[in-house]
Amino acid sequence: MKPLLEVKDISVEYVGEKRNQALEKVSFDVKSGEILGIIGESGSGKTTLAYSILNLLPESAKLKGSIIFKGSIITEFKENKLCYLRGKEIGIIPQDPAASFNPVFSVGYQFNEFLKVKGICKDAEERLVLMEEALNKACLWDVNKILNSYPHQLSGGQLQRAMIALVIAAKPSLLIADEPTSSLDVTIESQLVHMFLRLRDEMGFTIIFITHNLGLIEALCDRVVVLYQGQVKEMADKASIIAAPRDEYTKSLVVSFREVGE
Amino acid sequence: MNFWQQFKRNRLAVTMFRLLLVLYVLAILADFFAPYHYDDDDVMHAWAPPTRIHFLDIKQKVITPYINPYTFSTNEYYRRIYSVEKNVLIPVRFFVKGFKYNLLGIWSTDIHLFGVENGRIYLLGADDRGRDIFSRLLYGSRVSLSIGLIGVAISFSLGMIIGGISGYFGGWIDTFIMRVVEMIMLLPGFYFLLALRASFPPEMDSRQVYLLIIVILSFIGWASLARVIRGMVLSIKENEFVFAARALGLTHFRIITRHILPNTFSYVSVAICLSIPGYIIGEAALSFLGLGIQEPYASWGNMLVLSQGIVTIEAYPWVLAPGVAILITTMSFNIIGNTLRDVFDPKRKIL
Repeated sequence: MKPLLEVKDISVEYVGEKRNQALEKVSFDVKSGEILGIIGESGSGKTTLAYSILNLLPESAKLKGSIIFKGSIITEFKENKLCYLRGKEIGIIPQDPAASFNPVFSVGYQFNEFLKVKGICKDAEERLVLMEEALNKACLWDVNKILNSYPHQLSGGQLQRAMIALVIAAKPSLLIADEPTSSLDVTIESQLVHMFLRLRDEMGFTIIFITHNLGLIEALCDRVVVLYQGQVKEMADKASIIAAPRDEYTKSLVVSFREVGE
Repeated sequence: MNFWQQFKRNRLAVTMFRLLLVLYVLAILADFFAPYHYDDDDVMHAWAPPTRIHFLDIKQKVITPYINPYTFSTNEYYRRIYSVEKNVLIPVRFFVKGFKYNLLGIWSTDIHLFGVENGRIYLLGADDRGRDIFSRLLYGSRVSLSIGLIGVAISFSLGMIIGGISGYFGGWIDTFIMRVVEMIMLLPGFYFLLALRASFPPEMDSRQVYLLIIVILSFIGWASLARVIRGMVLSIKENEFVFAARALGLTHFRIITRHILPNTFSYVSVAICLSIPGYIIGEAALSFLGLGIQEPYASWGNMLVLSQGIVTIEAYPWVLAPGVAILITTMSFNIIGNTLRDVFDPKRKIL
């Protein structure tokens, strides 16, 4: 079976006063229905990688290589075709979901607008049902309060879950989650881990899960890509990476994870 | 404390706001409130002073309001000296029949709020041709009050869209737009207005002139706004929510109009209130110079033409009424604008 997403020899270089090679010949693939973890320390190029898949990099970044999604080379797509893909086919949960709502509109307005504009659901009442389902999936139960609130009236954690709900409501073929649980407390984090697992198991989501937390990788992912200074150090099944890391960096990662655990 | 509660704390602004509402209602229903048509003249009443309405009869008893008709004699300078005939009482009637008009452009009717059946009533006096200044003031307010709103609507939508595009896309688009904006800002507004108006035939229909003034004023007005909006967009577009909107696949146009520009509304609503007076005064100035709305149509500017001479003002001070109207309207907008600015300013929030 062909993989859902193939990333081939992606290099990203930030040009400007200081040249900076953010990614160097990164290649991996994502199979349909799996959760792929991407782990790396800060500055290892995780977020750059996530953004380069949808060509959301700033203009100062130069992208080389090719990305193939569902058999078409999306790195050659024009802006309007990519725009259609974003949100609908490939959903991305931004790194700071709490700041991702427009402060002048209510959460419900923006949620509704997204579903309407992206043509996900034409009927207004169906949209309401869809929003409620999605919020419930993201562990938000007080649906009316969330939808009628403005972003400054909700806590960071609530907004984060609302953003996750917004992205998954579109049922994208590929979901990219860029450290989506970073500002949540542990109980909610574990609820969301279960949510991601349910999304995969019950609804067949394919997820790229980006994190610096090996614990989350252990709980969630099927396969892992280890990123270090813009290069793929190792790519293997979760079990083999945690049990028998081959690369030096991966080894130190696993060791430090164990130490903290004990 | 929310926005309205804060706004309401300023009594003056609320009063001015209500006053403006009244003025706009009067303008919209001018046909109904005006006892006479704007071109209804009567040479026998040229320069008639404001009519006094009596509520008490000679024995100090309350009766239906009435007025006394005017008679006049001429003095040694052939100026009319008006006096009233005390023994003739003309009752002031409400909902009287007058000239025919279309209320709100729909219902054809001839009922007016008040009027007299014989003789004439001049609440604010009469002009040189015996036309009722009160009626003309109401008709003139249609021009003066709407020109600000329409002009602002055009120039602000232009300024916001162009400024938004300029700030959002940046690069050569931004450079190009900003140079154009600077060129327009360099034009001395009022003289440009005069020059443009002069390049059109002077005997144009008043309706066309009205549109022309709006277009000219908005054409000058959008540039400085575009510049400010562009600056605001430059900082707003760095926000995470703009990036998120892009990542979720919203189009550039939608992001600019639905996500970035609404974040400038607090500034824009203040700027709107503060720039409406400019349009009102611009129109009045043009009409005052005879380049705007032409007789017999009324506008506050061309009504003020009568008060060009100090002799006229001294003899018939009521011709200044449109000036007072302009003063009140522009002041109201300014006060509301200032209050809005205080309400929106986060540093001045009273906790």
